[in-house]
Amino acid sequence: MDAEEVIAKINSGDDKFLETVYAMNRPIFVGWFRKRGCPDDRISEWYQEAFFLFFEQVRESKLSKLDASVSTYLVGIGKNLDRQTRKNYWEKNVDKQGADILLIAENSGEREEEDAPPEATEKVKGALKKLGENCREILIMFYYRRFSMEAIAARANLKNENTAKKTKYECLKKLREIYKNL
Amino acid sequence: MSADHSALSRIEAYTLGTLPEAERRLMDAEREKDAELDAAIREFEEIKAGIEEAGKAELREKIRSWEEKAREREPGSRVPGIRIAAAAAVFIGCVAGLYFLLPQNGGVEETAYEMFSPYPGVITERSGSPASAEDSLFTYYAAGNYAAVVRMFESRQSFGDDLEGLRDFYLAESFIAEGRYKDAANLLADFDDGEHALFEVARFHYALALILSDRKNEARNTLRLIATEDGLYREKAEELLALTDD
Repeated sequence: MDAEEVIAKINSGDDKFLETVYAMNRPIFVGWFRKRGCPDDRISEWYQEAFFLFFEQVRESKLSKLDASVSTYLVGIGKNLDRQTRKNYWEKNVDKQGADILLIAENSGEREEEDAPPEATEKVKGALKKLGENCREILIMFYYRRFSMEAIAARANLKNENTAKKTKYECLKKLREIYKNL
Repeated sequence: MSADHSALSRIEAYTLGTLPEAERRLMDAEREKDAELDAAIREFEEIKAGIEEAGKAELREKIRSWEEKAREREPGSRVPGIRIAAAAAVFIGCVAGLYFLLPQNGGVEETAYEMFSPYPGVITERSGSPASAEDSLFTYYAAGNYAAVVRMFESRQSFGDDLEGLRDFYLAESFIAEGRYKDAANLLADFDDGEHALFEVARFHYALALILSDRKNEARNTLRLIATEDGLYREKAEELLALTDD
């Protein structure tokens, strides 16, 4: 299966397949960074982040084809994370004049903290927790995973596309009510 | 469909960017005059952003659980039962045809990755001295900031002087470092001056860029050439050729 087919299958929303892609590509990623002396904990963190970023690219349709295999792409993201780690450390801790960037890499491990999400986002997440599990899943499938109504109907065991549309509308209405009253 | 439903659907289409252009413009105008509509759109955007964040958090959680499972399966794990189950699952998966999920030619690509490291430092061909600070491409490159070199290229910024024809070489090196193999191969293909001090490394990196951009047949032609000469990269070329034979 080439990279394009992998991407198409991920887009179809098959999470079992996504897990398989995760497991199958992990040894190459881990092996590559282990050979360079990176500690396992950091490799594990980078692989999770690389896979998440890969998935986000696929989800946002920014990645419809790849120059190389998925593992190559993931290692590429990992290399960028590694570089970013070094750069952050360099900027924070070391005088730029005469610094040996490679030496710094040995000691670096910090990542920049992500910005805190806006208050409204946190409020919606709170409202989602109060919504039933089915509704929450349907809304996430539609607005985050960008599944078609047909796919949502199949995954949520709904009769058809129209039922899925109606259910999604009811769920959204409920969520808005909870959100307003929080 | 109720009026409420219809209004919400319209706001949804507007927010998701699926509203036809004419309707979108109409809604933009309505929004400016109608504070209630504007507030409803803002609220919808907040809700959508919140759902997306929840989706991301859910996915990160799933990935974390996959990682835990993967670490348990690794050699040295203290959970032999899980290792046996994992081995059985892999076996059954292969029997069922899952083997096609393995990265194609992962071996040669991985080795090509292993073999690539950006040409160290920036030198001029003639003097062997470092590039001047005004040559920003070279300054970024020397600092290992390959992303900045690529950004300069993409934003059509001036690169400074083309240091004895080496600008494209260092740009290509930066492309490889940033995972842009096709772009690197296109630049390195033109680097054909056999007398140039960096010709050997450029040609070998061209072969690596070809492998990594899945143009293995072309890579083989270049590697065969390198393998027939008594140069710096002969052994590496032979190793890669053996892997592309698999």
